[in-house]
Amino acid sequence: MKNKRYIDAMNQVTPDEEAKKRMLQNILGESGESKEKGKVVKMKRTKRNSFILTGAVAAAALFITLGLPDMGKNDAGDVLYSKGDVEVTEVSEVPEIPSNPSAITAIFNEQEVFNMFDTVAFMGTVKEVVNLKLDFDGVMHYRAMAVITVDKVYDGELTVGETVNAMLPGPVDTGSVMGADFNITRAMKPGERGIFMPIVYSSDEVWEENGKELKMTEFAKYAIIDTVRFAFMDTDEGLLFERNTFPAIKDAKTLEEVETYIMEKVK
Amino acid sequence: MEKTKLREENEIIGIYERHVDMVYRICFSYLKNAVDTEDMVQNTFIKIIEKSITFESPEHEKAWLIVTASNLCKNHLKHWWQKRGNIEDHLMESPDTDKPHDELLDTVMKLPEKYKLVLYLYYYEGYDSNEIAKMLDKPQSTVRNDLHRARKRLREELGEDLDEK
Repeated sequence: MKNKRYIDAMNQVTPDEEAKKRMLQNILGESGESKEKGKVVKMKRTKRNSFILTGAVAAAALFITLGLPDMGKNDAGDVLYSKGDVEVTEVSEVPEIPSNPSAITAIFNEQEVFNMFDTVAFMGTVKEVVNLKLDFDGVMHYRAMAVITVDKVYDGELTVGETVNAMLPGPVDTGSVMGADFNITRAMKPGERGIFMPIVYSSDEVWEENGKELKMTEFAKYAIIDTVRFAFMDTDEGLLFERNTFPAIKDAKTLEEVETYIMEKVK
Repeated sequence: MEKTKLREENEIIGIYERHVDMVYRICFSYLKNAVDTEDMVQNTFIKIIEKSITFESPEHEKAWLIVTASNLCKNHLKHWWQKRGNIEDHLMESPDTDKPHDELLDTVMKLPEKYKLVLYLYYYEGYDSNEIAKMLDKPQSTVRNDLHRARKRLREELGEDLDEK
């Protein structure tokens, strides 16, 4: 059912003629280029003059997903996925990544955590966590996969008792790997309870690296996209979450306090 | 060979002219800045070339663009860090102010993305909840629920209902 007021508002969001011409030229230019060179079309980027992220944010992001050269000695375990020059292997150790402890501060604010992504929200118990090496034909990334049993559902199409596989944004701690900044996802250990807000991968979600592609849904259905804001973990060290991002529960001591807050936010 | 290329280009131009405004609005509602929006608009149309897509009907063409643009934007938001090569490129960049100002538009832009898309498809493009559900591959009940929640949020923020005259 069309709505005039909504249409009038959205009509303000229209590219001007110059932008339309510029985009079309880029599209057609890319078309010619790919035909001449017979290669896969590379995604086009407009020259940037603005960006929503601060330097600290970018620093944090770069740190989280740093691509590493192959360190060679990563006690290769089971190959969990292999397709088209992309291989995902379970590893028990990951190389040390240089960190900037002050960088992991403010990627997403409270509003963005709840509004920016298509997330589910549930209380669950960590069943298993494994570190992974993702090999894009020689370019390596390290992540972890958490297997979580759903105990209570706050938002999303999940059922109690279901098991959720969620990619984590970095490896879990194997004793000597990450800095304290990664305390939330690093802390995930089997048996721990938490409230989780992973994003749901869409069916065409692809990680492109080194000219290779990993279709994420062939590997995991969910992902926790930063290390501290989309999980609230009840650990031996106490309740861990990014308190500065959630001022309303800054002083929370129990998962149940977080639960009340989350239920209010997602309703 | 040249004729084929020319025909393909003309087809792309035709599709682009028919839908660029719609694709731009969808991308902007996710990304909220013109620079990223232009990138994703381009990438949406490049996908047609890249995958040699042929459309069965005008409806198929439109629906494909809606879904592709939406998925590319979500992908972009989730994995922006993977695409950032040099941290120095971003240190000097300032917050974006490209967004036009309108109370309803401002409120819509603050909604969760899953609400923004269904609102757009329902109130702007005129699809019903069944058509939206098929397009987004979601249960119809989920779409209806998202629409309900989106309307409720707008009502709370604006003090009026979109469905009222």
